[in-house]
Amino acid sequence: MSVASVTSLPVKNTVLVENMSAVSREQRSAWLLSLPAIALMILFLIGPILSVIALSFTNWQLGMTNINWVGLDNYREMIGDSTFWKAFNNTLMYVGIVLPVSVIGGLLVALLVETRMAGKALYRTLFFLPVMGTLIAMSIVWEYILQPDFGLLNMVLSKFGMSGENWLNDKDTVIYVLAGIGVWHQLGYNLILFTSGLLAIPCHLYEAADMDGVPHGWSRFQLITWPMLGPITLFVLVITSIKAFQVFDTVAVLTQGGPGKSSEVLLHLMYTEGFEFFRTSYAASITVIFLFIILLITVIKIRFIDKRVHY
Amino acid sequence: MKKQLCILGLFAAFVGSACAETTLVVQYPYGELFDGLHKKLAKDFEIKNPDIKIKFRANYENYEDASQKVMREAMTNQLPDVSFQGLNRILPLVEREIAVPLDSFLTNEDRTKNGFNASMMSPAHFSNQTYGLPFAVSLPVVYFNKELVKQATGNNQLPGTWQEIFETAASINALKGSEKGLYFDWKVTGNWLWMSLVMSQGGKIIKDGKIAFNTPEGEWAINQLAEMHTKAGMPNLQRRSAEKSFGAGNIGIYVTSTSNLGYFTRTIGDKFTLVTGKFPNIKKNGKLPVGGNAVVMLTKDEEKQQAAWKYIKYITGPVGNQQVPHFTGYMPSNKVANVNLGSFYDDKPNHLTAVSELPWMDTWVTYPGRNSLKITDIIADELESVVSGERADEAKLVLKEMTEKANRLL
Repeated sequence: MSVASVTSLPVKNTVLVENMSAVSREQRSAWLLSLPAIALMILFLIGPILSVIALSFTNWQLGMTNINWVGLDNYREMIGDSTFWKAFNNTLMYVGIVLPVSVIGGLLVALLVETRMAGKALYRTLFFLPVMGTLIAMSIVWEYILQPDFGLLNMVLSKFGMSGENWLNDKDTVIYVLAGIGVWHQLGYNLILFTSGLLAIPCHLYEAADMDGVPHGWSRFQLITWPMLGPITLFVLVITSIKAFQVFDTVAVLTQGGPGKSSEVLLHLMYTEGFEFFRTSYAASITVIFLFIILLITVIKIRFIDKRVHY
Repeated sequence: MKKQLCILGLFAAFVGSACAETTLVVQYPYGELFDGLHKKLAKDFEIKNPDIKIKFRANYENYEDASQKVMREAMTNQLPDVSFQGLNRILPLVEREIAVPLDSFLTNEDRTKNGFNASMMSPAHFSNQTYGLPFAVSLPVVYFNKELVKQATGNNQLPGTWQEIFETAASINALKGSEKGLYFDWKVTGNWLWMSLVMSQGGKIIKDGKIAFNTPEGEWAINQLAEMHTKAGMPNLQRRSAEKSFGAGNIGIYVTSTSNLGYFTRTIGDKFTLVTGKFPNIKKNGKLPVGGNAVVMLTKDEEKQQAAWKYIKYITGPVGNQQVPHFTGYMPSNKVANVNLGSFYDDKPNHLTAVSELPWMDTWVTYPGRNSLKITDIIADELESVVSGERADEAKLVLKEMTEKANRLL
């Protein structure tokens, strides 16, 4: 605001103008203060995503100096690529197992542990152990357990007169075995989240239920526990599905997508295409599809489920 | 005062020598196979060239890892000065202008007297330039657990042809224990043993830029793979567990590179007698793809290049290269070094098997173009469907499909 305009205006207007300049000053400093965060977001989040999207329309390969615009070629190749569809279906299958089993399992175990009088801390620790170990290291342990000749699992099975499988090298079992490891790893995390949710339910609700003659067990769960766990359940669902879609470590260590791509999953395929076959632009287009799925989950969370959760 | 001067003098001398010194950063794959050899060569080289120091980085896990690391480091300017790469992985480095051509360093004497001849250059020779020198080379051989074979067949005769091998394997399978007859290391890097089967019959891998194994030779090769499942009952093991199993005495016949010899000898110890045999059924016009790795120069600094060349020439030359079989199951790539080894092989018949295959040695083909590594993977997957028995009865169809799939990417 120029000085001239202020002097020429009546007093009332001057106040307004001063107010406005105060507002704009505030706005300016607000922008200024959030600038570092915005800059970092552009640098580390939005920038890379945009460049990945741009890359997916080119034929660039890691280390190459020439780059050409190829339009939708990568996506067309992807539609005709049986490996991509195998990876896509396997990922859905994996999520389809890990999500319900680890969420429902986590809730059940949390309820069981919390209703016990003694040993709560011990059980919590035991179930949480797999979460604390790095999955890469844990995968190597699983490799020894599942080894067909002298692995622990087959040795135990043979004690009971059953013959074990070659678990990780069998087309029919491999994805279930990986999903099993996924559940094992995720369950403890969900358990802890549900436990914190259970502890946050105020005692007086249960006391009130007692006084109103609500029987123990299922009705109490249905009337009080489950509705009160709504927000945490939503969080667990979203986190678990995103984590399940991100399955990578176990596949990379145990199977490398084999045998015959029957355990290939999206993230591992992206890694193989990009960093083993050096087909960087094709890997970028897989990444775009992957990001789209994650985005979809987030949108579903915000648009639909948020509204139905009882707070 | 005199003492101080003395110290100053010493210090100056130290600084002086430190300045004249060039340090070469070197990185190689398969530490478990090569550590001993590289340490010995570096020590000998440093004694002869006190002004050059060799510094090793943590070794690459395998050839894939070696290739990937170099490509990433090229983008971030962190390349080692000298690197060892799989013999089928040089081309991608040439396409990306990472490897330095070596021709200008080679003198006429090197070419004629020191063994750096055309055949040594050929595996890493692209568009009339040499981008790497083979360092340690290998060929496929058959390993026998002599006692286990004898237990199954009842005599000391080792099987020679594929059909004999399959029969022996079947009788080992029929033994009481859990021992398995045969493991063919078909999953080894770069479709190497698949190529060995095709080439041993005189078949070609690539012709005019397209897949050339959809021929009678290719059909023969894929039928052998199918029979490994149907006749020899070959277990579909992962490579690492198969290796361990053979070392523990649970597999009778094992087909893979001669480079495993050192590892097997060490792990087997006195458990059983290890005997090697020639790759079966090699035809007169047949060939075998050469495995192993080559040394490439990566430094772009001219002064360092001179030092790097001295080192490369030493380890691939007539003297240094002789050390290769002393520490590993590999063979020297340099013909003169091989001749100079003289009586080394006399009491090591297991080492000699691969040497006797040298007349059949040919290039380890790289699938041309930008999808090279993806094609390797596609072929491995198709082969798996036959080896695992899933499509063993329609091996010919798999061969046709595999050719079509690969050609689409070529």
